[in-house]
Amino acid sequence: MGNIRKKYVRCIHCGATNTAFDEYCKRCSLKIKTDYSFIYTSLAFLITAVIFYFPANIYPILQTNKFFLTYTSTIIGGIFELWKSGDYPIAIIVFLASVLIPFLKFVILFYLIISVKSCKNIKLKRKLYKFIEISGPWSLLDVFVVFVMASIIHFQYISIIPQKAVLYFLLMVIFTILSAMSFDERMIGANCE
Amino acid sequence: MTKNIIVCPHCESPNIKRALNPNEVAVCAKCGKVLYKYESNIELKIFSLVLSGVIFFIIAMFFPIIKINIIGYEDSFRIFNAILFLFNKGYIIISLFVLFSVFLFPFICAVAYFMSSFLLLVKFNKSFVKKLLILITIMKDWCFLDIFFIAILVSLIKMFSYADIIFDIGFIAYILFLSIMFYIVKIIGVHSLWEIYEKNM
Repeated sequence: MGNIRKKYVRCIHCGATNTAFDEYCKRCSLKIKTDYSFIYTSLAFLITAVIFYFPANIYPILQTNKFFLTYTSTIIGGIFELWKSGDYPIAIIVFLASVLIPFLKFVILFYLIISVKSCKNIKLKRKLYKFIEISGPWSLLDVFVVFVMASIIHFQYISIIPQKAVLYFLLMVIFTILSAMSFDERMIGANCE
Repeated sequence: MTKNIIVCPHCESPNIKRALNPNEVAVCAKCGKVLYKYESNIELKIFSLVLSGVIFFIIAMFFPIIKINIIGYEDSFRIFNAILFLFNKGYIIISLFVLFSVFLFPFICAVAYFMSSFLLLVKFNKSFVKKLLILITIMKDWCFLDIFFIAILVSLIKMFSYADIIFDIGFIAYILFLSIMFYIVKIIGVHSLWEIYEKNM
């Protein structure tokens, strides 16, 4: 099975089976990447995402104007407010989607990038990649919530205005998705067995 | 030779491919996960579902999702108007991102599904079908309608305490379009159309 495995490569775009010598997929004609060159691209996107993570959490994400009162809140501050007001499920969802999962994704992606050539924990690494692939875009939830709130509540005496952290958060999520997309999952344990 | 081999997307092991009987499922010999299922008339299913899906999509984007009343102020939330509103307010990157990921890409994907399933049904213009399938393959990862829907729900829960909210026709159309696309993209998958395309080649 070891020899036959090296002979065939799955196209990540259309799922077709190609031989290991094919540079382009026979079915969809898109490029089949089967070397480790993706590591640098994936790492570059990941570092960019980490850079955007800090301003996304430090700067305020939205400004609320209520009659003559104006206050701004960060992501963490917003979660505390939700928790204090008793909206525990939403506070947990926002905490998971906006704080914990992005941070976990950085750690997991970094681990996957540096250990892709290693033959240890192959099954675990494949499961971790699936987790990254599925959970990745869900961090956009916060950006979309701000978008919806700001577009609904824009009256004279009560309004919600997005602040610059939304942009940083959006860029962080986009670069994390790009990092995960450029990571070639087929190369996990490709030289093992 | 490679047409008779399928590489497992879960463990990358090669398996011999064979035709299935009704209700049969092919599993990977190594990891035991599902490789493919018996399915019939996929292109017809996709064609008829997407046809209604496109109508629901237009209603969801241009008709009100909700009507809201906050301390006497009344307004409605329409997705396309919301994108235009925030674009005009200067939030260009965010509004463009929503425009592409919630409006343009899902719409293009739906139309490409519609056209490719129709062309596969009538077995016509293979090179154009291939272009459409490549378009779907690339764009499907950048459609975030499901996350946007959850974002609408989260926003509504946040506003429930101080606003009167009435669900409108756009909300129902959104749910219907989302359900159709979930079935086509996640349950059937673009790989099924690629398989039919290969068989017709």
